[in-house]
Amino acid sequence: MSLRIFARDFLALTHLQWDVAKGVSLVVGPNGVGKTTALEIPEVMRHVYTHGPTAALEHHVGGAALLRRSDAPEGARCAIGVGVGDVTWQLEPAAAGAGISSSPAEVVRRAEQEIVARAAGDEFAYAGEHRLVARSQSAVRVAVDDDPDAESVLQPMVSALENYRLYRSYTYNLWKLQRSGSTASTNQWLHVNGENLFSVLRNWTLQRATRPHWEFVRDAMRELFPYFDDIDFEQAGQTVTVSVFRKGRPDVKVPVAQEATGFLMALLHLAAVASAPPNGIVAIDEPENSLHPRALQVLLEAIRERASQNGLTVLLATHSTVALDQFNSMPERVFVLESDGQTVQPVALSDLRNTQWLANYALGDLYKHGDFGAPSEG
Amino acid sequence: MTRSIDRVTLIVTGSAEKLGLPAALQQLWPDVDFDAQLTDDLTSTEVPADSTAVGGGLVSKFEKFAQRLVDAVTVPRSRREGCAGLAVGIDDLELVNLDRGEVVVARLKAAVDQILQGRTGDRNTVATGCSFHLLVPMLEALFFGDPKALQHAAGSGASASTFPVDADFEAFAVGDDAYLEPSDEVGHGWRRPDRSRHPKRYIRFLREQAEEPPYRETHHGARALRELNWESLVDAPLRGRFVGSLLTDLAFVLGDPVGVQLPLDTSPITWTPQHDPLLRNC
Repeated sequence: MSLRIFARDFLALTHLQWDVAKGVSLVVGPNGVGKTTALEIPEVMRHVYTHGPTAALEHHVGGAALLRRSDAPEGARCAIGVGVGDVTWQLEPAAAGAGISSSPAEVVRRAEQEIVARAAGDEFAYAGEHRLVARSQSAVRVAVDDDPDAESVLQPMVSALENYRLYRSYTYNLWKLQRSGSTASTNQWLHVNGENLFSVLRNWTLQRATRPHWEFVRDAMRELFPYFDDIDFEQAGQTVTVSVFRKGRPDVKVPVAQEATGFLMALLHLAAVASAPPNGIVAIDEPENSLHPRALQVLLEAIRERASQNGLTVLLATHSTVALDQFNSMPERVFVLESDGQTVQPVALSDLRNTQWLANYALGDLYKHGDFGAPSEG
Repeated sequence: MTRSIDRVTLIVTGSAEKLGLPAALQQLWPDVDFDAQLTDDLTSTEVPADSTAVGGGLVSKFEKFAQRLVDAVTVPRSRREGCAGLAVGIDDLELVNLDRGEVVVARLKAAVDQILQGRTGDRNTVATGCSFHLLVPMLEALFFGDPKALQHAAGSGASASTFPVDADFEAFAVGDDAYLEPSDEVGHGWRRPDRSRHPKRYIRFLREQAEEPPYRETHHGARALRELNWESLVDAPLRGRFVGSLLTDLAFVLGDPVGVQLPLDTSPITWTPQHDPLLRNC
């Protein structure tokens, strides 16, 4: 099931309309153009669903004054939304006094027909029938909770959002992992801050159903780091940590605190992708951080293979020319965000440039030289 | 022989050229659109005469440059743009290669020839539509041929530089004692052994002396280039001959430039039109 992400005059985005297909896609563009925001929108919508509009938007945006694109036309209203299958959910975040409105305008369409419609305020209509919304909740949440019919229509979209995770490589808590390990838990899913990594990996090894997750991570790590052989999990009290075995040295265990940052980063990225359920959606912002170019190439190949086997959608926001080179033969999977203020973004590279021309170059080279996704100059 | 050309694509190797050269040339041919594409430079290290192919799927700098040049007139970059009517590759001939201009040109031509193997139809397009030129020893030398450009690049006090404005900037050399005096002092990026013949380092020195902000190619260099007075670069015999080659080549297709009198002295390295050429100019 494909995911669509939408935004208008939201933060740095002018007009985003992104149909994301299954498989691995890259999004590239200059700093500040809104790549991370684009990846964040499904997460925002999930939090709107689970925590209500005010809490979600305050958490992600920070304040009402920041919601709307700073150079949006006077009177323009910002909007964000997602679509899954034939259902699209759009929200118009708005200020209320100094804060963010708890009852923004919302609309859900199914094949162009409005099925949930809420003007800014407490009331909304589902299938034409008026209902009252609790102030802190979204209309979609109330509809799903209160109406079995609505639940059956909206559940695929809600499930897709619940299964969406955005991992920001720069917010992984590496220091804590290295020094203190993970708190023991029954988690099967890597948290977005990465802190439960060792606990999740160990849990995967314990059950037959999840052991393939661990095997995927371990096998990929062996390719990324030729010296790596295996991991031992160790629990002391409520803390799980790991030691690393090196090839040909079964007698020597290296504490993970002594491993390279890139080693831990790769482990986290692989665990992030392995966490996703079949047909799930994972986004990783700046996966290249701390990784040797060769390790990044192998990582992307492993992610691509996993996505293909499990029907995953994987979105990677990057500035890495090495990552781009891995897509030389797939320019249709490279999405370019630029800030021309007019064009609907992002644009697939295969639409932005002639594929016959692109075939003569390494995409990383073109990106480096500003042929696409370049900062504005002058 | 002039042709109707709407767009000229410049294949350049520096940010200042990318940002400034289209506007600079448009001064001379106001009816023509110039755009610029950036690629890796060719001459920052000594260019060997031997063009042994780079193996293992790696592409040499010359191959990349040649591909850009050929594609500009044979493969549309996007559906909207179409091919350029004319493509001009331009790179510095840096100090380390100053006596190797012929080698640089030969290597580039060999790479173009390689790309055109089996593409008979494109050979003529490239021979009439592509050329390759050199800025000697680098873009910043041109600013020493135009007092106003030098002020944009090196700061308003730069007219007091010891490089005479009527000297040949392509044979740049300064005898400024303050610039050349030996020193153990660290922290000056311009204090390198080859600085007497290095115009960009001298510009950095001049800005430092004048307590101006450091030289930025994308700002100071691009502005100096955009407003360059071409006429002052080629107003004396045997001066700016590589620039003369560039302008002569363009004038051959685009017609007489505004404000520059032809004919100009040219360099035989970059203006040797041949009977059966690979590129337009060499």
